[in-house]
Amino acid sequence: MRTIVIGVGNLLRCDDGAGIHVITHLENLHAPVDVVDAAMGSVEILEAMKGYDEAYIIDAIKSGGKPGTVSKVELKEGSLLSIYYSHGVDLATTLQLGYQLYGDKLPKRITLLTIEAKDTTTLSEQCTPEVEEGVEGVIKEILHNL
Amino acid sequence: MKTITIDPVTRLEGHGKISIFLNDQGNVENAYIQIPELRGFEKFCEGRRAEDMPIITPRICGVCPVAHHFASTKALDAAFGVEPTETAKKLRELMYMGYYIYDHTLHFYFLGAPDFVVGPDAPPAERNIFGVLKKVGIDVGREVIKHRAYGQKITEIIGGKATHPTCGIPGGISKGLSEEERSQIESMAQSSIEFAKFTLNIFNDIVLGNKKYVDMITSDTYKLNTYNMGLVDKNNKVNLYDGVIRVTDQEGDEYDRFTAPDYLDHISETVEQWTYSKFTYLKKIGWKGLIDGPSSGVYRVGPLGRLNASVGMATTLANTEYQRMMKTLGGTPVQSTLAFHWARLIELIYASEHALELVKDPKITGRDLRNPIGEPEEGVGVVEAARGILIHHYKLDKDALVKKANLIVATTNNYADICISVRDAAKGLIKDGVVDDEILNKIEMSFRAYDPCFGCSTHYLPGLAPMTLEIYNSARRLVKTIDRS
Repeated sequence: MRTIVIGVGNLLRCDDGAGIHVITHLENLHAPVDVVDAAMGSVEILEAMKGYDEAYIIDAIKSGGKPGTVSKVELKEGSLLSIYYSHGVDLATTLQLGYQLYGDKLPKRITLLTIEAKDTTTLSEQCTPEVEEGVEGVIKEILHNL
Repeated sequence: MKTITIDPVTRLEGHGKISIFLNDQGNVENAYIQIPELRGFEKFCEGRRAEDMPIITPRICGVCPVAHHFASTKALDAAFGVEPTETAKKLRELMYMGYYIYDHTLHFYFLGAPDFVVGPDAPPAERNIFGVLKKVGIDVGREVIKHRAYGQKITEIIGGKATHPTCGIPGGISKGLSEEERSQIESMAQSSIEFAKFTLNIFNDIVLGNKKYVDMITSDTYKLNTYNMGLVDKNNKVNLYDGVIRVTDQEGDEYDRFTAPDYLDHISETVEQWTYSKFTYLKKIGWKGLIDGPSSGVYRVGPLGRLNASVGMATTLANTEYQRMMKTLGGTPVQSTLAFHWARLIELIYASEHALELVKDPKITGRDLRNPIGEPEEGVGVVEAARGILIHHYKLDKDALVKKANLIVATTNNYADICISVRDAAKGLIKDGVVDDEILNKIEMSFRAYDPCFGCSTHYLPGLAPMTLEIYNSARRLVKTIDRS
C-alpha cells in the first residue's frame, strides 16, 4: 500500500506550520510514506495524490478548541461542500474537482488530520509547545495506521 | 448611513475586507479595501545569513515563491557584486517561465473565467470552476490541471522543489540541466504553447465574441487612468525576469525609466490611517491620495501594467495577440481593469513560447553554473512577480549577515489602484441603495482582475464560508448578514 502525507501551511507562521513540521519529522524518521509540502494547499494536491492508495492531509486550524487538539475527518466524495472562493482554491473544491477529473485515480482513503492552533501570527519557525504535542499526536496516528 | 462589508478572503487571521459606505440616498459615498500585510518580516530577516534569504523569503507566500526566490537571489548577486553565468541566467529564466505557466493558468480558469465564461450575473453556486468546466468540457479541466502541473514540474526540475525552490545562489545556480530533463521540459513547453493558444481561443469566443462583455470591459466603471510600470528589455518589450523598470504615462509615452538599485529615487511609500498596508507612488509626482490622472503618483503593475509599460512582447504569438488587444481596446495604454485577464493570457503564451526558446538554446545544458562572488555589501533585486514588480533590497555586514532588508511586494504596488477600482466600481454600480448579488460580484470583479495576493498572510481553512456581506444602518448596527457560501 502506498501512502502520501501532504503538509499544508506556512512554516514561518508559528503554529500554521504544523503540517509542514509533521512531514519533516516523518522524513527524518524514514517513515515508509512519501511526503509533500503543499504550502497553500492548492490544486497541486491532486497531482501529488494521484496513484496513491491512501493520503493524509495535515493542516492547522483555528476553531476555538484547545490548542494542540488533533481532529480526524475522512473525506469522501459527495460529503464535500462546494465552495466558491475569490482567491485561491480551497480543499473541498480541489478534491471535488479531483473526483470529477480523475475518479478512481485518487486514493481510496483520504484523511484530513487537523491540529488546533494557538498562535498563527507570530513570525516563528517553531510551533507553540501545545501544538508540538499535536504534531507528535498526528505522527503517532499516521504511523499507527500504516 | 449604511455600511456594506464584503469579506472576500476567509483566513485564519487577517482578512482582506471591502467596506462600502452609503449615504442617506443609498448611493456610494466611499469604499475601502483593507489588505492584511505581513508585518515584521523584514525584522525577521535581520541577522540571518545572506545565502538563507532565497530559501526563507519564498516561505512568505505559497502563491509566488519563485518570484521571491529570484528577487532574493538577484539581490544577492548585486550585494556580492557578481553576475550569474550565461547558463545560470537562462536556467533561472526558464524556471521563471514555468512559474508563470502555472500561476496564470490557475488564475484564468479558477478565478477569472467563472465571471466571464459562466457569467457575472450567474448564481454564485455556478460561478466557479465547476461552472466553467460545465461550459467548456471536463477534458479541458484535465488539460488545465495537466498544464498547471507542467509549470510546477519545470520549476521542480530546475529549482529542486516545486513550491519552495532552492537552486538560486549568488552568481549562479546550484545545479545544471541534463539532456533528459531538457528534453522533458521541451515537450512540456511545446504542449503549453498549444494550451495557451487554446485558452486564448476560449477567451476570444466566449468573452470577446460577446458584445455585452466587451461593453463591460470598456465601460467607465472599470477604467483607471494611472501611470503603468513594468520591466522591459532593451527593445522596450516585456521582460519578466530582468531588465529596466519603465513607466509610461496616461498617453502611453515613456515617463520614467530606472534600474533596480535606483528604485528609492523613483518610488516612495506612504501610509493611511485606515489600513495597515502601505501605498507606493511615483516619488517625483507625489502622493495625492486615492485618485488617478497625471497629477497623481499612483501607478499600475501586473499583467496589464506590464503590457502598457512596454511596446510589445518579445515572442511572435504573444506579440500578435498584444497588438490585437491594444487595437481592440482602443490603443496603448489600455486602462480597462478587466483587460488584466486578456493581458494575463498574453503572458501565458509568452511564457510558454519563451520557455521553448530557452530550452532549445544550446547553452541551457552548459556546465558553467556559477561565477565567483565578491565581498558582501548592499544589493537590490527586482523581478516581475505574476502580480507585478517585486523588489528585495538587502544590506549585508562583513560576515554576510543581513543588517537590513526591505521588500516591496506586487500587491503593495497595486494597492492604491485596487482601492480606486473598487470604489469607482461601487459608485458606478450601486444606485439608490440597491445591492444584490450580481452587483456585489461585479464590484469584486474590479479587484479580482488584479489577482491580489494575500498569500503573505496565513493560508485559509478548508470549509469556511468564503464570503459574507454585512449591512449596517446609520447607527452602525448590523441589520443584515448574507452568507454567500
